[in-house]
Amino acid sequence: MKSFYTSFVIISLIALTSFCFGQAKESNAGPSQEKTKLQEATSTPSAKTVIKDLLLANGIAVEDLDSQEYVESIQEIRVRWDAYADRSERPLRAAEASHPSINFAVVSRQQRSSGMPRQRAPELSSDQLLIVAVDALGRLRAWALMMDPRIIRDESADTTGAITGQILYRATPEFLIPLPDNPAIKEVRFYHPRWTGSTFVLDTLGKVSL
Amino acid sequence: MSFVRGLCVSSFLLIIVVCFPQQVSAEPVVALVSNGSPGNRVDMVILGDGYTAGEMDKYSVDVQQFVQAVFAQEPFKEYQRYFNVYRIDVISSESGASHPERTPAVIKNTRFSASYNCLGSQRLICVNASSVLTVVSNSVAPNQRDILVVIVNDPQYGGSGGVPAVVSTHSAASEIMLHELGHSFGLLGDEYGGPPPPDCDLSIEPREPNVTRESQPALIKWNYWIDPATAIPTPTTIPGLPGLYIGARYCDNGLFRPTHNSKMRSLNFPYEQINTEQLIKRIYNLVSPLDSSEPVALAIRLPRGQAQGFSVSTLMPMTRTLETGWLVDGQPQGTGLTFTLESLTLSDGSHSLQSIVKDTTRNVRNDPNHVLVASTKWDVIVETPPRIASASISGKNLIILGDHFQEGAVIEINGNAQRTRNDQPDPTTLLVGKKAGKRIAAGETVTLTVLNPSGFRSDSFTFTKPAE
Repeated sequence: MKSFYTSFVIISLIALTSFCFGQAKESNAGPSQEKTKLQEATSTPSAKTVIKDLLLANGIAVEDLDSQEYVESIQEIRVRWDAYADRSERPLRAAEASHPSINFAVVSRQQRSSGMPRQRAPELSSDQLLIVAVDALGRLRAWALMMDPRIIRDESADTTGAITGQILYRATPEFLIPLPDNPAIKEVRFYHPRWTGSTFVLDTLGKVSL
Repeated sequence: MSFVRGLCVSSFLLIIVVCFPQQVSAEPVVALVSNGSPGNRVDMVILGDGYTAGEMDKYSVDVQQFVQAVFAQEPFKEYQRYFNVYRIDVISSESGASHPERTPAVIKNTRFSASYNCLGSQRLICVNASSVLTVVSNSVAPNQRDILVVIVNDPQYGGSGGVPAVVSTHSAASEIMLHELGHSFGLLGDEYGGPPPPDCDLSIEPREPNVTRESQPALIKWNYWIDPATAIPTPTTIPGLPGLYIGARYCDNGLFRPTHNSKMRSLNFPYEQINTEQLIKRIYNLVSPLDSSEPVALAIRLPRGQAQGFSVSTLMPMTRTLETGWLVDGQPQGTGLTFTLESLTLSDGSHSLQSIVKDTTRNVRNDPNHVLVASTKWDVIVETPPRIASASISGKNLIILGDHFQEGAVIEINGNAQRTRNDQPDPTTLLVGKKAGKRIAAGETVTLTVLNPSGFRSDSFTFTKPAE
């Protein structure tokens, strides 16, 4: 019980800080939005800070990574990525998939009645792609961390249950990307988080205009 | 004439195409497990391939068995109330999956074109992911599809990991799916060794939480799970004993795994401690332990003498309840899902009330992002309402004596605001209703109230103007 109360004090300080910084934004929110926001008061920003720093390092102005969670109207864009010169339906082995192309294209775009998917404490992984929507001035308007749609895991087990496998790559993957229905969004950029052993760097994959 | 007729038909078709764009046809969606709003749950979507219209009952049974298998496995078993599961009823023209490796080749016309022997790997099932996305996009909302699984109506062992994950109806398929969830949902690494492919890479410390190349105890990612008496590297084959075991991530040497065996190395084993911890944190990445709170308004004005009730609803693991604590002005004041704030225990002015919900599971020992914790905070202003002690007439003016009149307070006669001299320092005990005395006839009885700018109103005060 004592340690629980100690946690209370620590969490209170974190929450109080978050609350103070969030006051201006919350004052215009409706009741339901307020309810959601305060639930996240103790979600420490450290995991998102990594993403924010990476975006800043890539020239993207970031004000608030959380603002997109409270939008009431969203759109979903479907993007096709002709990732490799070999555009056959068959997946590619790792050796054939080392140099992805920059050929992204919007296949469709539609409004959706849904909230934005949210992550309270996202983790970067080299198996994911970081997708970023920016306005005409290159400022962040939305972002998403999605599993890399190229990846196909070919894994199976022998009679003892021991697993072996390999990683294959789709040559022409597609994405469904939810974004705020914000006309200010002009471009969607695609990055691959690459782990260096101690930190992540973002490799630019390509972009599409909206 | 035929040209004109053709032109008319073409125009008509053009109008139809332009005015009635292709209808988006959503497939039937059945909510198999509904535990709450998709905005605060892990949402799993299951689709079928190779099920004909006449096999929908079989599809339903296959999906149910798959879901039961997933939620029989810890930590998904303990946290199953954190999940929603949707089944999309997709009908194929033909039953089963293609087997190009057979002689003669078996080619089936199915909705997602599921095919074994993908890239020459007999047990690898590939599907047309684009077709899957079309159905998913048309059938479920974007915040309703955290995990996508395609079940292929074929009893031969097979499947593939990724988005979507693909499994056959073979009895071991759910086991390999749980391994794949370890990758796609838990961001876990493989714990098996070589031979390649994939290549063994010893050049950098792996990112995955269950693989390391470090052998110094202080640098091992999961060292807080390792008993100091455990040898490093760990030679034992005891199941579920955290340590440092040689071989992981496609390397037979040079990389280490946390336990002798686990589901990230072999089927039919538990995930074990380190992977379970990571999976729980990944569940909480999508699900806040605090589901909702009341009152919804976060700014509360509480009149002195009154009490205000507060409540929260939390997620419910299967065998435990989450701890809920309440802090008033940062000081712990109670536990449980409800709390009553008594104004008499507080001074007039601003206060805070915070509810903190925490999962204290022993399966998570390291939570640097505090993802197992969430809170709600209310700002509470306690205030003593204005009180009228007496009223009198002085010339044309109405004189009110009392207490807790704020600067800007207004006298009301029968509910009608009066021009009030209210510029005295706050709080004042005197208010003057300018010419308000003229609005009350001699001998007339009225109801007086005082309204403070904070919104608090005094109790009614009955006043009878003396006969002149």
